[in-house]
Amino acid sequence: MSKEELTERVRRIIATAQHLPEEKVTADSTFAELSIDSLDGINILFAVESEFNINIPDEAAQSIRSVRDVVEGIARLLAEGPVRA
Amino acid sequence: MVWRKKPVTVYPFPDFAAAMGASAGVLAYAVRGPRSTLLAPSVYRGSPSRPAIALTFDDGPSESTPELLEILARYGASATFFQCGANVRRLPEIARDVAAAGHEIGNHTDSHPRLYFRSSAFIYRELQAAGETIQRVTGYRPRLFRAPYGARWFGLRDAQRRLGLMGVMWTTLALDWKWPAPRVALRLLKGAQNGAIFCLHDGRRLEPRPDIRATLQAVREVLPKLLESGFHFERVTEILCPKKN
Repeated sequence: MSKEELTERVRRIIATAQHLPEEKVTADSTFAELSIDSLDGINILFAVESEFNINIPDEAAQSIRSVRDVVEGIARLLAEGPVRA
Repeated sequence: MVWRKKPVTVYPFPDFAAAMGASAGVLAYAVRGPRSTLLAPSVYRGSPSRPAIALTFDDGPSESTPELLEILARYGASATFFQCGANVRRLPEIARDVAAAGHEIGNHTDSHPRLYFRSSAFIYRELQAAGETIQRVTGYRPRLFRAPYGARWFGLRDAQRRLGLMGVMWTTLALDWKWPAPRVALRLLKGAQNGAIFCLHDGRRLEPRPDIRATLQAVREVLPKLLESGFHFERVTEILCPKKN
């Protein structure tokens, strides 16, 4: 999956979760700019996990603060491949 | 019907953390129960690194809620109340008192139905009606939801998403509706741990004037002991999303 496709999917997830027009969510948007708070962020993580069929460690969630953070984190994970539980 | 659990793919935390960047972000620590996300996303505990416990009370408000508020105030304890819309309409002043005391209010449906085998439209209406009632009466828009009986069903995920609600389960179910106070208290003390979410009840479904003496007595007994043990009490949002120092 290209970075552009991944970004589009993440933008769509966030726009849907936050009831925002998709064009308002850009790759450069910070969560603060989108008025995404902590609880919203948890909901977004659930949606991301469901969309990409991954399990994001709770500790890692604490450092996410922008759309780009989400995209880059997922891209790197997908590139590295899964680790057996 | 064949149930299939989503294959769990675990990625190493350090790599993910590095990918996400090291600076503080806005997302919270919350342990999310993988098994509980099948029908709707939900959290069930807070960070295990902080000695905080979230007291939650379902099925209120009831005529006995004010007495519970007094006990909580005595110990400086914040809590989260998952209220039913029908009970809020019956006792609006008490619902407002809960909010005015600084407690968090969550959505516990309008009429406390079992959600299983119900249509998606029914589930949505139940959550929407309760949310509207709570907001109209207390001015507080619930962002947390707890399913009656903890039972969730197809359609709940979409309803939660549309209404912006996060599901909340628990680490310890007090069984306070059927056990005597000493047994409830013992169960809570055994369940005390960092990030715990206790589920108690300040009502009994939609029953007027419910007998919640076991709940009140157990809370009276447990709160000072937990404080002595070094725990403090937070609302669910705080235990999920602790403010950084």
